[in-house]
Formats: sequence, C-alpha cells, structure tokens
Amino acid sequence: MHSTGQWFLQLAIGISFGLLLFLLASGFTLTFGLARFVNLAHGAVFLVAAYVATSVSEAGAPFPVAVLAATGTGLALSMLTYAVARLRWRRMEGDVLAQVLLTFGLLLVLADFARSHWGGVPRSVPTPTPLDGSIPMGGAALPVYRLFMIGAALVVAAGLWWLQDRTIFGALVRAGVDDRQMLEATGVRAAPLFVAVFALAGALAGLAAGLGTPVLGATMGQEFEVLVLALVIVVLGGAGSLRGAFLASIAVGLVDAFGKALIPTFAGFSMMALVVVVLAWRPNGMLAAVSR
Amino acid sequence: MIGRLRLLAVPAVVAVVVVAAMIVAANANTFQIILLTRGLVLALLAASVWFLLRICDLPSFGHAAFFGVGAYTAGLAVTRWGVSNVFVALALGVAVTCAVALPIAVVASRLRSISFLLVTLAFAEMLRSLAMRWRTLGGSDGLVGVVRPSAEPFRYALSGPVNYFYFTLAVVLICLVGLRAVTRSGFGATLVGIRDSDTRMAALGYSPAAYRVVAIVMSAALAGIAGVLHAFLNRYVNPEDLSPLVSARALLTDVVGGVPLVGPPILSILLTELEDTLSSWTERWMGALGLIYIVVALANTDRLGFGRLRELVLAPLRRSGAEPGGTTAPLLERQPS
Repeated sequence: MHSTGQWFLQLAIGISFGLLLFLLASGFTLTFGLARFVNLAHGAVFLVAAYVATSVSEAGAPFPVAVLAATGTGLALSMLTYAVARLRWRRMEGDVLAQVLLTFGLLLVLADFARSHWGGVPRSVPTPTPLDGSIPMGGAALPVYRLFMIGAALVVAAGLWWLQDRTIFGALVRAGVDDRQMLEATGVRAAPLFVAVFALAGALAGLAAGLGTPVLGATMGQEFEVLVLALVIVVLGGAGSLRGAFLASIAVGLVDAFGKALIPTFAGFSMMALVVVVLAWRPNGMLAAVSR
Repeated sequence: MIGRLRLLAVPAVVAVVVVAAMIVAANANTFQIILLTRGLVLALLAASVWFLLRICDLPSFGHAAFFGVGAYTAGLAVTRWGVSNVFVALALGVAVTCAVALPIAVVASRLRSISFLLVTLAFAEMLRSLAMRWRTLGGSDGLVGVVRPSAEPFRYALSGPVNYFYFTLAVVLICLVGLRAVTRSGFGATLVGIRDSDTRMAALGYSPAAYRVVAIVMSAALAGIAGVLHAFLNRYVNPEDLSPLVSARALLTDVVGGVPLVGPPILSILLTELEDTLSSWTERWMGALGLIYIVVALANTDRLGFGRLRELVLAPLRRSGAEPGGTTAPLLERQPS
C-alpha cells in the first residue's frame, strides 16, 4: 500500500467483490423478507454454479454462455431447494431451526456433489478477451475486468431496483415483506410470489458465481466463504431491505479487500469489527425492512 | 413419595451411566473407546447449545467458535506455554473461551432468533478463517503433538484410551449435573422468565440483556471445556474444529432431543457412531450426512418417538402432582419458535 495506485486497486477490488456479494445477498434477503425462509444452501448454489461455468467455458463456449449456464444452474438449484422445502411447508413455515437444518443439509449434499463431480480441485476461467487488459493508474494496474464487474453488477442492481420499485411484481413483493397476511387477505396468492422470488434469488446467485469465475474461480470451501459474507450483509443491511443490502455489501467488500491487503493474517478480525460496530450502533441492521 | 424419588434421580442416572460405561469399557476395543469418548465430548457441546436454545430461546449456529477456541487454547498451552497439568489447561481453556465469547455475547445478545443464528455462524466462520491464516496457530495444518498432560494432584495417567475415557466421562458428567443445577436455580428461572417475556422481567427490575450475556458466556465456557477435552483426545487441533459442521451437529441433536440433558447426549453418541460408520462405508459421507439433516428437518421429530417417550416418563409424575409447575414445566416443552 505504497502508492495511490495501490489504493485505487484495492478500492476496485473491494467494490467489485462487494457488488458481486450484493447479487448473492439480495436473493437471500428477498426470500427471507418475503417467505421468512433462511436459505443456507445459497452458498452451495453459488459453488455449483461457479463450477458449471468453468466446465462450460472449458468446453469451448464463449464467456457469456458460461455466465448464462451458471445463472440457469443457480435458478434450477434454487427451485430444487424450494421444492424440497415445499414437501413440508407447514413445518418449515415459522420454524427457523427446521429451515436451517434442511438448507444446511442441502448445502452439504450440493457441496459433496461438486467435490465428487469436479474432483475437489480449484478451477478457473480465463478472463474473456476484450476485458483482459488493465489500465495503468498511479503506479498500479487496474484490471479492466474488475471495472466490468462493477458495471455489470450496477446494471443488475438497477434492474432489481426497477423491478422492486416500478412494477406490480415488486409492489406485491414489498407488500408481502411488510405484511404477508394482509397481502393474502386482499386476494393475492403468496405461493406464486414465493416461486418467483426463489427463482430470482437462485438466478442472481448463479449470475454472481458466473461473473466471479475469472477472478474467484471455483474452489471447495467457497460455499461457506461466500455464504458467511452474504449473511453478514443481510444482517448488517437489515433483513428484507435491498437498499440496506446494497450499502452493507459495499462496506463488506471494502473491509474484506483492505483487511486482506493491510493485515493479511487478521483479515477475519476486521470483518468481525465491522459486524460489532454496526450492530452496536443499530441492532436491527442499517435499514431494517422486516418488522419484528 | 415420588417427590423423594425425584431427589434421587440425578444420582441414579449418574450411577447407571457409570456402570454402563464400565461395562462398555471392559468389552470394547481401543478404537471403539476413542469413538465413545468423542461422542461424550460432543454430547457436552450439544448440552451447551441446548442450554441457550431451550432456556434462552437463542439458536446458536456458532458454538464451533467456542469449541475451537477451547481446543486451540489447550493445544497452545501444551505445545507453547509449557503447561503440564490438565486442570490448568482446562482453566485456561475456560478463561480464553470466556474472553473471546464476551464481545460476541454483547453483540449477539441484542439479536433474536434468526439474526442471532446468522451472526453466531458468521463469527465462527471468521474465527475459522483466522485460524487457517495465522502462522502461530499452525495455519491449515493446525497444532500437532498435543500430548496429554498429567492429572495432578490425582495419581491417574491420562495417556491410555480407557483412562482418558473415564476422565472425559467424569468431566462431562460434572458439567451436565452442574448445568442441570443451574437451569433449576433462581438464575435459570430468571432466564426462563426472560425467554417467555423479557418486557415483564425488565419491568420487574431484571436486565434481560445482562442475563443473556451471562448465559451466552456460560454456555460458551462449557463448549470451551468440550474443546479442551477434544484437543487432548485427538492430540491435535486443526481449523476443522471451528467448522460449521461442529455447530450443526450440536443443533441437530438438540432439535431431535427429547428429554432435556438426557436425549441430546445419547443422540450425540449415536450420531458420532453413525458418522464413523458412514465414513467407513463411503467416501461421500458428507453428502450422506447432508441427507440425514434433510430427513430430520422434514420428519416430524415429535413423532420419532422421543416426544412420546418423554410423555410416557413424565405423565405419571404430572398426574400425581409431583411435577412442579413454574420453572421446570416450560423447560420440558418444545418451543414453538
């Protein structure tokens, strides 16, 4: 961290990783806000989607196709999670422990599948050609792909904002997050909304995994690594709040990048410090949407 | 009559457990005894999670953090700090675990149900990543050569598996009986009151937050003891001791649970045996373990027999009027969270 260029580099790494985590966490926070469903399997969905992206890319497909394949995988796995939960929805509803055990079990099964199918070795995807350069800046090289990640994630975030703020679907989801019983009393069936939100959450997780493969690759252990960062974002941002998740994800991304650059060994401490400080200041998260 | 019998319940259960342990130890081979010791250690961990879950309604998915801190403290004590007494190692384990647990408890005590669960899971994972990177802690290799220290002032060598089994049994039984005493004390009753209505307890002049912090730190200390025992059992410590699998296992046995302080330990021992069988059968034991979690989550655990068993045992006591209401009755109910 000698030059200003280094600072810019860490800034780009932090923001791009943070926004990637936002894609993952926004799905988590929406399913939790609307369906009151805690989906720990989300981490493994990310992992499997990332591995699928590496396989598709290795088979010779262009990068966008790999990202699409990852997105589709995420969607399918999220629907699978929902389908399994639906087997005993009555029991799942309102029973946090049952949800946690179920989705943790799914996480183990999916991670084990990834381990046996891809041999447990780390894999990666080469950075796609027009984006593999770097921009010199103040003595450091800013990778173009990081900037592309920031741009792509911002476009998706804007799309999410539009979906939530400007469409009937978004209005229904927001109403459901606020007061589901009232929403159902007005004649709206919640089940199709749940399906849509689960599908959206899975697609976003897969998209995040696909976009992340050129820099993060796919490795075993990622399922917990990204899951925990997403959980921190959800708790810090306030469950059910997309804006809160957005703010929190940038904070988490920056703390992660600068923590790893400045104090590599104790990077875990910097994240803990962030959680402690924010929760001491606002126990319900920065912008809580779910009323308790 | 039954009231007087209830006084004898704890000594009777302890005596039965000790006799059963002696019979098993006399007939089992070394490997089975080590496995059983491991089951006992994990039973203590399950009990510490049970205490927070059922008495305080705080679901912890992060007790691996305290378990791991206890284990690493024991490992460092023996390999670096020159500690040669197991009781000193246990005391150090408890002290360090409490020191780590306090800040976590202060933050987490402000959270309820799902947020508590997510934050405890996050803290445990952060500690695991710390342990993986920190050279002093051996990085991802962990600490090796954690020899079992002496048990002075008792003239009892811990080196043999059977001896260590009895030592673990003694420590775990003392902790469980102590935990039972705490849940039945005025302190335990206050915690139950706070669980059921913290506003009312606050109006009565209690500070719910302070009580929660104390409960979390107490529970962490028990998990830390389990960690110390585990480190000396394996003779090594590694970052996997901090893995979410450790926390999840405790939570699983507590959910299926049944009779407080009896069901979860028995289930922990059974689950340890099952895990071992799975890992010897198939390389895909992690997936198989995942399937077990899924089945338990989907199954109606009250119908698995544990709920019924509990009713069979307790119904006669209730009918005779010997079952005291107030503090103990709610403890035995399953909490609709």
